[in-house]
Amino acid sequence: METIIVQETDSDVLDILTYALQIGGYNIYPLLSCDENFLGIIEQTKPHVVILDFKLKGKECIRVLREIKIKYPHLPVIASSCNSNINEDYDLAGFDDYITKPFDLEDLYLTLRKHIPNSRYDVA
Amino acid sequence: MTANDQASFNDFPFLAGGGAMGELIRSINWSANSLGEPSDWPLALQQSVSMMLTTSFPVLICWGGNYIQLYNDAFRPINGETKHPQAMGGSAKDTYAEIWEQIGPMFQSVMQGQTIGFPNFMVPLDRNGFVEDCYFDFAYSPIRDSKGVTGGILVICMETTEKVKAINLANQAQAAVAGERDRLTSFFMQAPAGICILSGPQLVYELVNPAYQQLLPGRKLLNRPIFEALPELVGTPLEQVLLNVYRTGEPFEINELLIPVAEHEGGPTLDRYFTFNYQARHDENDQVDGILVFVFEVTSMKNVQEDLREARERSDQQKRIYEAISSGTPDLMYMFDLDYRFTYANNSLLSMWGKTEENAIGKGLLENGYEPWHAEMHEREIDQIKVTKQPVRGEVSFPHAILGKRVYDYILTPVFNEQGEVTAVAGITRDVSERKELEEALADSSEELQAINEEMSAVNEEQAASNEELRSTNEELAVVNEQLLEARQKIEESETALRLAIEAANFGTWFIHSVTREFITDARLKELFGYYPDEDLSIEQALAQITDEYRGYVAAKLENAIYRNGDYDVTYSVIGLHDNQLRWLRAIGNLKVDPSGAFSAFTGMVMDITEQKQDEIRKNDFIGMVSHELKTPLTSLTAIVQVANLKLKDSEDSFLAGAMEKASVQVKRMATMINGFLNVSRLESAKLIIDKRKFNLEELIEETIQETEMTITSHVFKFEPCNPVMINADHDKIGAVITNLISNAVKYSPKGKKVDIKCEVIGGRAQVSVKDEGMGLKPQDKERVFERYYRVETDHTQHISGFGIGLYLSAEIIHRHDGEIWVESESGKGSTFYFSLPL
Repeated sequence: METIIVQETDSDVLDILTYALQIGGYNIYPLLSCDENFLGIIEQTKPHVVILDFKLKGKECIRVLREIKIKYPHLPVIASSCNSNINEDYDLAGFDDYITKPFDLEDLYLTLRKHIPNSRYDVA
Repeated sequence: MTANDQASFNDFPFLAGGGAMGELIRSINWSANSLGEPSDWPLALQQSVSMMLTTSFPVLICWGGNYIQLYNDAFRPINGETKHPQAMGGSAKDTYAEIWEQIGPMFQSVMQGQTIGFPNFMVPLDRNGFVEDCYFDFAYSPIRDSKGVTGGILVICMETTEKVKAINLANQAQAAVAGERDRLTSFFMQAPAGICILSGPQLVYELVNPAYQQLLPGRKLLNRPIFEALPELVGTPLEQVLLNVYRTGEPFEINELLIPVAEHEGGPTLDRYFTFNYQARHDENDQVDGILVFVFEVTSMKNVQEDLREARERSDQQKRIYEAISSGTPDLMYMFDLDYRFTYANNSLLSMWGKTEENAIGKGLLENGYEPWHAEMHEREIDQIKVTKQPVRGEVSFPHAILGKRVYDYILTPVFNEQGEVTAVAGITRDVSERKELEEALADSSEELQAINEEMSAVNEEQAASNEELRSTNEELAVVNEQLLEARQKIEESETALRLAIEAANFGTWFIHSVTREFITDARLKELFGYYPDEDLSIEQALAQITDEYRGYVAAKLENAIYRNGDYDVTYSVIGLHDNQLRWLRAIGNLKVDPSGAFSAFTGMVMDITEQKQDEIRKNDFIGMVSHELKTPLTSLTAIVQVANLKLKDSEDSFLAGAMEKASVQVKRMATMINGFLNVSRLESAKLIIDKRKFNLEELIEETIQETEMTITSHVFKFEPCNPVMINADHDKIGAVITNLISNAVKYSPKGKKVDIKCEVIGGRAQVSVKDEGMGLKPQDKERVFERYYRVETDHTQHISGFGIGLYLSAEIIHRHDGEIWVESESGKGSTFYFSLPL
């Protein structure tokens, strides 16, 4: 089962996102804050994808992104954001992909499948 | 003939005649031979020799124990060149020494009274100038005297060459016939095509090859009538076909008949296609006596045809998609052939011409109503594309019958064939009138600045010129003093006027000498960079105050402007040296060559745009914040509803399942609306794209009200049904306008009140009104409700839902449809919002 680290500042969003990804067949490691020891957690959980909350100008998550990319340049890191221009900004910041909020479940799974190509996704 | 010969001839009448051999025998000195003088020869020998010399058959006589040979003209060739003439009068033992072992015993048997013959003995003879194989029947018989004692052997030959040859020919012919028959059979049997012969009126299978049998695996066919072997044919059209071929002798063909064929009996079948060919077979009296059936497999041909058909279908589908795309766009799309004729025009273009495909396609530009100058222009461009293979982009402006003066941006692109040659020219034209107007408005303000700038540089020039004058006229100082004074006065006057203007606008100004890089600035510019008015400021010092983000960019633009006469209109932020203030500045510069030609003067001005820029940043931050605040709860809501919806899909509680489905739709709708508004508020209004198509406005209003009723139960909606009103507009955006007006009516009127929605056709326009019974608008608000951020300016902190873009956006959308939007309202009595669209 593939592991995904999900960081999301809003706890309600984090809850439902975790649940939605679990029924999508993923193992989820949810995090509320960007201040966690990401490198340690990655070392421990060996995730296939990391999702970071790109909030407002995304300062915090870009800091985390850079830390991750120095040590794990090939680990896909995806920005999830309410910003309508995230489709332009994610690339400039160095993210591998983006998810717009609010998201459609279908799109969420599709985006993840791009980066975890072998995952099976069967929803009840 | 010698005397001796004559004597011999006369002496021995039995040696008379006999041609060349007779002469040879007579010339031989027989006394030296073991036979002795002819007169002493036994009677039997004399008689035999006489007979020999007079017969035309080849005859050889071998006499006595030594087998002394005598032969006639007819026999002579059999002895060939090597044995004649020494054989004459010689012993057969010597002549035939090489085969004496075989012949010797035979001769002995004959000498004992037997007769031996052997037929068809081959002798190569050169009788006609070439050697040929000749055949003879040889008969060896004893020559007996009157007492029955054998004295010699008579060899008589009979040539059988012709007979042997005839027999050989007959044998060869027979072999050829047999070979031909074998070949034909093996051809039939190995032919990849199915072949069978149906013989006689009963159509009995006379021959069936394996390929044919393969079509009917397991059936016993050979020697059975077809309708007995294949009873399923009885009563089918094929029965009539076969009988008809037999009756009339006319061939018949069945094309591409599908037969499922099994590789082996009882195995899985494959769909294969066959062409059947029936030919009548005729007997020697030209009467039909059978039918030849040829069956060719055409599966692969059929497959190719099938592939071709599929490919064609795919390309048709592609074409339809392309049609759908091109016909749905407001842009004009078209294609020219190289003779400037339209080969394609989309719906937008056709409707602009007021023509149909039938009367517009294949026509040239003039025929489709283009002005001659316009047609010639495009024809020139098509010629150019043919040669350069490069696209051409241009702008053209001309009056439109209804819309007034329009500006069009067009791109003509070459269409290449496989060889890379231009075979057609495709084009897209977009109406950019609105964008153009906006650009012009911007350009106007830019021009004003430029004008001031130019004026200033003109002053600079004048100054330089007068300086020059001053130097050069030193000697005549007295004479020109007055002039100089006048000039200076003039300069001062214009300088003063300009300074006043610049000061009023609070612009900073500068001058840069292109060679010395001397940087002369006014006090205001120094102030903008945080320097005191009496401090010196170099170019490098000024650049140092520019924020890191922009420094490199400004420095590059500046160098490019001074040394390569590039444009210079830059916006950047600086941090003041002493005051540490962040300022946003816009600088515009202009390069003028000094009349002396020795250097150029780069002059310009700088204005403080901090406030505008901060407004823009605040606006963007605000939108980002609103976006975050609005969308975060919506995100969890959307996901919860979607997950719940998934889980309830097969629930037995149909209400819950239905409610979740609806909730899902509504949440999505809400997300779309929020996205739409936020996106549009970010965009320049010039980028708002209207996607027009025909639809029924009445239906749209009804749908919108139904959707609103699903979420809002606090108000009563009243819609008086009207007749269907077809309009050509952007369906979704007009829907958004109606939604906005209705939700405003709900927002600004107390619960339980009525909202009246009407749709009418007035003066050739569709007019929609939304009337509420709310608080109404004050006269000063009525003027401003359609402005952007109107609500935001007043109380955006309290009411996040009313961030003041709805009506502004509605107005923008309506104006882009050439429609009008307005409000009638009385404070305390409610408001009615109207919009109208051209039909």
